[in-house]
Order: sequence, then C-alpha cells, then structure tokens
Amino acid sequence: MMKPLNVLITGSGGQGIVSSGDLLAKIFFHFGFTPNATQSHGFSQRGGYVLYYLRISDETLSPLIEEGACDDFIFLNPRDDQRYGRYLQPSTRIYSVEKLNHEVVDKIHFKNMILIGMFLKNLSLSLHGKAISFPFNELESILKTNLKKKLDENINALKLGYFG
Amino acid sequence: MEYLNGNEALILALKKAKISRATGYPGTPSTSILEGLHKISDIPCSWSVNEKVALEDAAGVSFAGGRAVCVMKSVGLNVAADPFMTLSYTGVFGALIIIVCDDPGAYSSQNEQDNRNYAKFAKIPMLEPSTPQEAYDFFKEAIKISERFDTPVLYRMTTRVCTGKTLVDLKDFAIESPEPVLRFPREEEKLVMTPRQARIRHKFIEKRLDLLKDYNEKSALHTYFPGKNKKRLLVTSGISFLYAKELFNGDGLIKIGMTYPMPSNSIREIAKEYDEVICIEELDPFMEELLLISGISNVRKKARSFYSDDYTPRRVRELVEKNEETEFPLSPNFLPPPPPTLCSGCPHIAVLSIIRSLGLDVCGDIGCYTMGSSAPYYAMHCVVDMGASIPMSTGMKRILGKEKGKKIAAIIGDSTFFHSGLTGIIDAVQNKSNALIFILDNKTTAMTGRQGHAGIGNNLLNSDSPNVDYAKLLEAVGIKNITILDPYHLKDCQKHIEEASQKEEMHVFIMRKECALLIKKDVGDKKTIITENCVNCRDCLRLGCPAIYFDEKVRKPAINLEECIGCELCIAVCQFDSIICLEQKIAIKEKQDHKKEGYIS
Repeated sequence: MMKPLNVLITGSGGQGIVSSGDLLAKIFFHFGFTPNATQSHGFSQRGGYVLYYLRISDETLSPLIEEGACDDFIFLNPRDDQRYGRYLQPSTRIYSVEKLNHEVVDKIHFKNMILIGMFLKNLSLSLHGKAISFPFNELESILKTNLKKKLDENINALKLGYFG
Repeated sequence: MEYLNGNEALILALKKAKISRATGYPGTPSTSILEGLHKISDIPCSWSVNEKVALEDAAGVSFAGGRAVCVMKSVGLNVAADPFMTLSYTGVFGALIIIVCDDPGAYSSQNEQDNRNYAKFAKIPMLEPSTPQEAYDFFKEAIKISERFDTPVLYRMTTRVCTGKTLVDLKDFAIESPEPVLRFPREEEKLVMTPRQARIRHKFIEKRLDLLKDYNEKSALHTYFPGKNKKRLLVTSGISFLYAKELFNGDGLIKIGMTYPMPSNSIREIAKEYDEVICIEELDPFMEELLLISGISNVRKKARSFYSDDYTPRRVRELVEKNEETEFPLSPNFLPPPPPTLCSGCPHIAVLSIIRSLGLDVCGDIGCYTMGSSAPYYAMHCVVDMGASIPMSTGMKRILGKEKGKKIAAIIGDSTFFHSGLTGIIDAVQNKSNALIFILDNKTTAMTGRQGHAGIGNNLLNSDSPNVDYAKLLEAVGIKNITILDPYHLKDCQKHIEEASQKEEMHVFIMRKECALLIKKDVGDKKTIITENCVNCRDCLRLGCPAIYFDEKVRKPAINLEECIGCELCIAVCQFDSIICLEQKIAIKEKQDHKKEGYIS
C-alpha cells in the first residue's frame, strides 16, 4: 500500500469546489491511482461552506482526512487556512488565491483551475515503484474528455496556474 | 472502473436489476438516488407526498409481483414506520427493498437516530454496504434475500457511504431468483392483517429470523481478516470497516455485510481466539449489544461519547485505543466556518422579517426556513418534525389562552405542508384553533435541491400531474380566512398580517413567491445599491440577506451586486429611502448630466 496523498479543497458553494475535486480525482485515476473522496458542507443551497476531501492511494480507503494529515491544501476563500487549520501540518503545501497576482486573476473566473494547475505542476508521486509526474499536455487532454462546458476558459486557467 | 459515490453506484445496480418501480421522498443524503435513477433509466420513479405513502405504493408494487424500491432519509422511516412494521408480517411477492440513508452527525436532520434499530424492531434483514462497490454488489443480494425469505429488506447506508467516492467495478449483474409473476394477489391469509392473521404471521416471522440467521452465518456477506496478534478483534460494518482497515494493521478484523440478524455464531468462534472484541460502529452500540446478548463475553462496551456524531479517523483511533474521547485542540487563531444562511433574495427572508417585526411566537417546521430560528433572523422558536408546526400551535393556543397565546403562529413550507401538514390543519380547524398559519409557497422542495411536489403537480414521473389548489383545499376543510400574499410586497403583507393578528380567528396566509434559486439571476438594472444618504441604521443588514454586507472600509452596509437578485426587499425595509435600484441611479445620473449639459449650453 502506498502512503496516501491527502488533498483538502475548501471554499463556498458555487465556487466549483466539488467539480474541481471530481476533476482532480479523474486526473489521478487517469495516472493509475485510486482516488477516495467525500464532501462536507453547510446545509444552505448556495454560499455555504464546502470541503472536498481527496485521498490518493492504490486502494480503497476511508475518505475523510485526519486532523494534521493534510499534504496539499487548496482553498478558494480567504482565511480558510484559519477555519480548517486543524487538518494542516508543518509540511502541508498551500495553494490559495491570496498568493496569486490579483490583477491577472481578477479577470479570470476559474480560480479553482488556476490552483489545480499550480498544485499539479509541483507534484510528483510514486506508484508501484514508478515515479509519476503530471505533464501539461496530458492534463489538457483529460480536461477535453471530462469537461463539457467552458473548456477553453478552463484550459487557459489551468495553463496560467501551471506555467505561472 | 468508474469513479462513483455510493448513491451513484447503487443507482447503476437498481438500473441493471431492472426493478419495476421506485418511490420515495427527498431527504439528505438519499435524494440523489431516486433523481439519478430517473435520469438514467426508464424505470418508473416518483416522489410521493411523504415516506409513508411512498412505502405503501412500493408495497402495492411488491404485492402485485413487481420488484419495488423505496428510498428515504433517516427520519423518513419514522413517517413510514406504520406500514414498515406490518409489511414485515405480510412479507412480499416481488422483492421490496427499503433504502434508508442515515445521517450520523445530523448534518441535515433534526436528530441522529440509528435506523438499524428498526431492522431489529420489525424483525427484518438488513444489509449495510461499506463502500460504493458494496452499494453496487449488495443490491442483487438484497433482492434474492427478499424473495427467498418472503421479507422486506432494509438497505441501510450512511452519509459517508452515500457521498464517499472511489473506483467501482461495474461487474455483470445476474439476479439469482426467478422473476415473480405479475398479477393481482388473491392471498388474503398473507395480505389481510386482521388480528387473527397477524398472530399467525407473527409465528412465521420468528421462524423467518432463524432461517435468515442461518443463511447469514454461511453467507459470503461477512469477511474475516485474521490478525497478526490475538489481542484485539475489531468487528465493523459500513464505513467503519475502512477506518479500521487503515488504522489498525495487526488486529483481527471482521466486516459484516448483513448486520441483522447478526452471524453471531461465526463471530463467537473467531472471538474465542482473541483477548478482546471491539465493535466499531457509528451511533448506537447495535452490534455490540447483539454480540453481548449472544454470549460473547469479551466484547468491550464503548464509552457513551462515541454514541453520537459521525466518526473520523481520529475518533476511531481514540475509540479503539483508549475508549475515551479527547477534544482536538484548536489553534488560537481558529475561525469557525461561516454559519448557514438563506439565499440572497429568498422570499422566506421577507416572511421572517415581518414575523420578527410583529413579535410573533412561532411554531416552525422543517425546510430552508428552519434557518429562521438562528442569527440574524430569530423568528422561529420550536421545531420538531415535519408537519409539527400547526398541531403544536393548536396545543399551545389551547392551554395558553387568550392573553398569553395571543401571538402564536405556525410556519410551514409548501412541500412540508403536503408531506404532513394537511392532517394538522384539519385538526386545528376541528379544535377551533385561532392561530395564524403561514404556508410558504415557494413552488418547490427547496432544501433538498428543488424537487417537485403536489402543489406544483410534478412528481418526477409525471411532470404534468394536476396541482393542488391551496385556496380551494383550505376552504373545503373549513378555513374561512385565507389570504394569498406576495412576500416581496413587504408593506402590503405587514398590513394584512397585523390586521389578522388583532382578530381572534384562524387565518391562513399563503405566502406565494417562487424560490430565489428559480428566479433568473440576470436582472440587470433591478439590482439595488445603497446611496450616500445612508444613515447607517443597519435595518437592511438585520434583514439577513446574504447580498447585504457590512463594508469595513467605509463602516457602512453595502450590497454585493453579484449576489443581488433585485427583489427590492431592502428598499422596503429602508426607512430613509437610501436604497435604490441601479436603474433609478442611472436615471438620476442622466437627469443630472442633462442638467449639467443644459447649464453649460
């Protein structure tokens, strides 16, 4: 069994938290991993908080991330690192919109995709003794098969995150 | 392999099993099952008015030889409990599978009940998938058991199994038992539950339980993973299996797929080899008690703090290692997650605001408007179960009398009204209650994701069913004062309601405005802004519309134009006319520009 990679994605309803989590899961599946995920959310229809827990492994795991065990934290709302700090550890890699160049980002609606791009660019994992990285052209083709709406905008946002 | 959650995997099993009909009532986390099945198959699916009706409909399908599925959330089974208990006596012809999705942690429910107790209570078998794969695989087993043993089957899932996603192998799907014959059943001794018949069938049920237990002992529905050491044997079902598998490597592990009746003989044999047996199960100590009763003496009793809330890896670790729970230390800069609110422009906001301004004492009900009990609305004071609002108001009126009970009102949503409010309102009329009753008619079942209901004539299967005419219905049960109001016309509503509250007569207000999520967001210049005339009284903020926020920079309220849907409620509450529509602002600006130009020329 590989040591699982625990990815936490947070934000509010309507920001595409669940769809980016699902997309990431499909990306990891494409590269041979077993994604395990679940969500928590407030019970309002819109604007409530959303957490997407994604655990990448080579087998079926329980989907919740334990406190202090998050490897990668992607968040869309400012100060979510304070709200969900309990999941973080000193080595957690953090991806947030606060780190981005605001002038560029404000023009783009797909902040979640920018963050996914940043996250995948830096990531390398090993599966069954083989090193696996996430090259952009392959990600682009996964997006093309999985996204039905606003494909170009999503790919552009991914590119912006991936290549900076 | 497909990446699916438990509900999605189960839907594919229902489709492949070609069940005859599926019924249910929406409720988290079960809602997506019926909706999804309807979307991807030709199987006739419909939302019933409530869970009791849904189960009785499904019973009819089963009696006529069809394979029936009935889907509901945890507390839904309380509503369906009457037919549920007796359907155990009648048994089935075609399979009857009751899918119940429990909500440990009460994320979206009024209580945290453990419905496994219902299987024991009704003496019927229960299957508990632990992964999306099992949600898919176990379904054909459920059909087989139901038809072979002449019994309804409880298919119990929990939030983490319903919403947990992973890879599922969609294997071929052959149902072992032959398909039943479709016909009207003429078997009164089985299907007419008179006291005499009930006594006879009860004996059959007890025998059936023995047969089911034997079957479970030998079945492949439970799996044993021997431990490296013989200290601890962990007995799990549902999601707790995955926690145990990952957290405790060296211990013995049993996963139970059919948790009632328990295969306690098989477990007893294994338990003998271990020092201690620990059941890992969310909510009640259901398996723990059954194993103790069956004479397995080295079962450890779990501490009471583990009876509540959903489990997390940390809690499972504490349960097994210490049987004692510790608080997770929060960092000093901890920020709580934002509290839930109604949506921007939600018509409920208007109703709650009027109610608060009149200082009414409110018996509430279950729906989005239940959020009206907390900040910033504070306009709902007791909520118990679906349909309770009106009867509670009747009871309170009766004992509090004229003076103390003067301000009592009941609030109920439209879908909830059809679910179980109708009997309550007839009872209120019969008891000569003079409460104010508000039916919030937002044309949808909003809380669970906008399903249809009898008030709008849409039940999944038939989008053109006739819709119930509220006014005629209420008139027919004997209500004299019925007023239909548009909550967006705040001042008008206030006047009517205030007048009615002075009289000592029952008055039903149908507050009719479609759910804000059904309204097009693209309202352009109807959106509102706060002008520089604002005196900072903050009445608009107290409305509780999420589009209105306090702007820290200017220390005054402001409106988020992306969120605003142009309902103009804030214009109505502003006493200083400091909120205007964008179109007004544009008009004013044009006028000013015009003036300026005129001046120059």
